[in-house]
Amino acid sequence: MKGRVYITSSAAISAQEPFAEYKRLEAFPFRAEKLMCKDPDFRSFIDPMAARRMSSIVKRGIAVSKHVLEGCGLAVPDAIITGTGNGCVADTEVFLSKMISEGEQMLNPSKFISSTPNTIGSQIAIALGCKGFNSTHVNDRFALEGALLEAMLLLEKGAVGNVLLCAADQMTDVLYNLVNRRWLWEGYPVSEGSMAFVLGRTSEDALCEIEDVLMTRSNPSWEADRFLSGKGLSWNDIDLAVTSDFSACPREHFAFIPENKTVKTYKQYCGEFFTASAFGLWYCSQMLKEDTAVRRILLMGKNGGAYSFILLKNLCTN
Amino acid sequence: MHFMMDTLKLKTQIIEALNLEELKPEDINDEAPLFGPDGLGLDSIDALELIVLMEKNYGIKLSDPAKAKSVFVNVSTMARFIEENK
Repeated sequence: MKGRVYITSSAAISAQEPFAEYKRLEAFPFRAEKLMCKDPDFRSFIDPMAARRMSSIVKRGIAVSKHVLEGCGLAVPDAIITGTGNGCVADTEVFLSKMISEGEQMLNPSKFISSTPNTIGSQIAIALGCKGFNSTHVNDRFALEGALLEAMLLLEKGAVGNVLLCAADQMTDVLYNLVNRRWLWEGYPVSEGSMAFVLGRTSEDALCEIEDVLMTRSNPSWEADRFLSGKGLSWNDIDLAVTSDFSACPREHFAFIPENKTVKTYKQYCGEFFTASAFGLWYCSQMLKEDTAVRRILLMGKNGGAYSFILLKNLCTN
Repeated sequence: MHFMMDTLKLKTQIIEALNLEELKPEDINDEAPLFGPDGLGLDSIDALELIVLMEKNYGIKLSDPAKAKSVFVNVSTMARFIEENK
């Protein structure tokens, strides 16, 4: 990918304390019960009249977006791109349940309107007064990566000067039971989270550079090599691999990582959800801001049979 | 004017249907506008919810959308319409 794209600011609402700091994360045990978000006081971010129809995923999206914009002194972004695996699933459940209980009569319009995944990005735009480009990627396990790729393409093309990237998923009792029944996530604690990033084209005051992103369902070992060689790099240029595994077994799904590479993980901090890789991106961006010894991170995600690779570069070591 | 409708009950239903958690029935003035900045500040989605409320609780179908503007002026006009049509 031509041009350069930088993460200017990043923030997370997760099972950690609201807007937790990277160095103060609590590690959760493997096979823990579901991990729910610890929410900030939404009244600091959203007018109560506007908030009354919003489900938690929308409130979190607005709160984390306002927080991340404040972090870089930006009032209104040029574009908003959202990634979500399940969208506003809580409202969808209420709407469908009422459809059954009310015999498809007298359905409440609010839950119908707000059950679409686009509600998150559109409500963020309304809250910020942003009339620019707005799109939502509902790509299951590639939702964050698809949204990130589109943001990078927009920035590379010069169509916008900055992008607010938001990734969000929420957990409900119904979804939790379905995931557990199908044993989808291999014992990882089922969780939820909302992360936001401001991406820009200038390195000034940025946290790190995003060099490239790849999504694949092919052999991850070959794809990782191909990804790096495509940038003129090899594993020797990677100081740290950050995987979507648990801390107890950091190479569980990434056995092909060279033995001499340092590996860190992030799922012990955030649990598992469709856009958990956004937490990984937040984790890495904060690490690169503070740790000048790490020149490059390869962030590696696995969710089911899907793999993602995001290459991040430290700006302090140019 | 003969007007018997219990507006306290109606206000409770409005608060519940519109998730106006910050409000109590006694906070809503019968004559205060439901829509716009001078009253409750409701919007078009709330109007749809109010139509569902009337049908669900009083069996009244508001088939003419043009009529909604005069029905939903305030709690009094809404109560009067319910009283006359239920």
